[in-house]
Amino acid sequence: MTEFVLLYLLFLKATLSSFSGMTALPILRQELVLTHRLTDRQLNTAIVTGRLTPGPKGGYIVAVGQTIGGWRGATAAWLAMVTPALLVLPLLYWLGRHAKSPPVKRALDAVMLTSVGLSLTAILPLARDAIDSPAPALLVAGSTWFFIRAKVETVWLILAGAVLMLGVKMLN
Amino acid sequence: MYLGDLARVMLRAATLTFGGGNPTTAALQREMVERRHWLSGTDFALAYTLSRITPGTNLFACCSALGYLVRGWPGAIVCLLIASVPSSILTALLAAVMERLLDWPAAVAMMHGAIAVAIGLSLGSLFTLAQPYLTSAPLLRGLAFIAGGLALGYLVSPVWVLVAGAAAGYFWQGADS
Repeated sequence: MTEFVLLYLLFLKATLSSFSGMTALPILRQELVLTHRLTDRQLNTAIVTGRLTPGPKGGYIVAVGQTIGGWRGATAAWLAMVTPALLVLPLLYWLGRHAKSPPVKRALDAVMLTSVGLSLTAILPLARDAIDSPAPALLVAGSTWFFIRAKVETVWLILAGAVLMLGVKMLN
Repeated sequence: MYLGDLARVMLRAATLTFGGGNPTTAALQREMVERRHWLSGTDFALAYTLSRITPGTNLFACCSALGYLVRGWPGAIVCLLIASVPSSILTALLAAVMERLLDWPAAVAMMHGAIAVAIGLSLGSLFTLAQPYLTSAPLLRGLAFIAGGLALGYLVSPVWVLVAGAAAGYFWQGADS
């Protein structure tokens, strides 16, 4: 039980200091890799795992929990991930009353658009790493187009991408 | 609108949408704002914006806020659990076998393809999220905010980028206001 609470507090420290998908990473690395509870390879594997499943990219924390503590570690990580989420409700309660005023509405619209630019700073380095040949470049372009135009369930696109890449590897 | 309807929409978006938080958020925007009209665009922007300045995983804060706006506290709790539990179980299951999969070249190739698609989905979702706000205000101003977020994102903490965006939007009165 003590181990569970310690793991929960460790993951909570990481999630509370994070404001986007991967910003908890330096803390996890400091607390787990530098203390030899996890290797860099295991941490990277956890990050890849988080990208391959539904949900947020920050979900890799559950994979880290699973790697170091099995299902108990995964549960501690999940709990630490969802605990801060409810902090949004007091903000919503207090700020929501002013949302209809024109300057606040303009500010909300501006933050939506600024967030898009901000998200690009996280996605572009991932794209640079993933696009190492024409096939992944075509997959990135094709799935972008499909998401915008075709409104297909993304699970089918992920499966199609995996199968196409396997086919390319077999042809090579 | 019943809590069960909200739970079904959240379950579908949270467990069948790959590519990170943005595609899931875009799927929820399509369902809750454009298709079912449960929320206005302003309400959605409020939930999204506040979730970005909440510590922790933005997607879960956004789902809680959307649930709260639609069905109060029960909606917030149900949406938070549905958005987080199934995806976390899948992540933990995959993590348990991932090390072994990485020794299998065919699996590595498939993961490479899946990650490329996930990146495309993230890019597509950003377009989907931005589109309603680009068409409701002057295009150049909208593009300026996106460019500002992109440029500042490399320089300062995400929270300060969002605060700067909010301040600029609050004070910058365009031709539409």
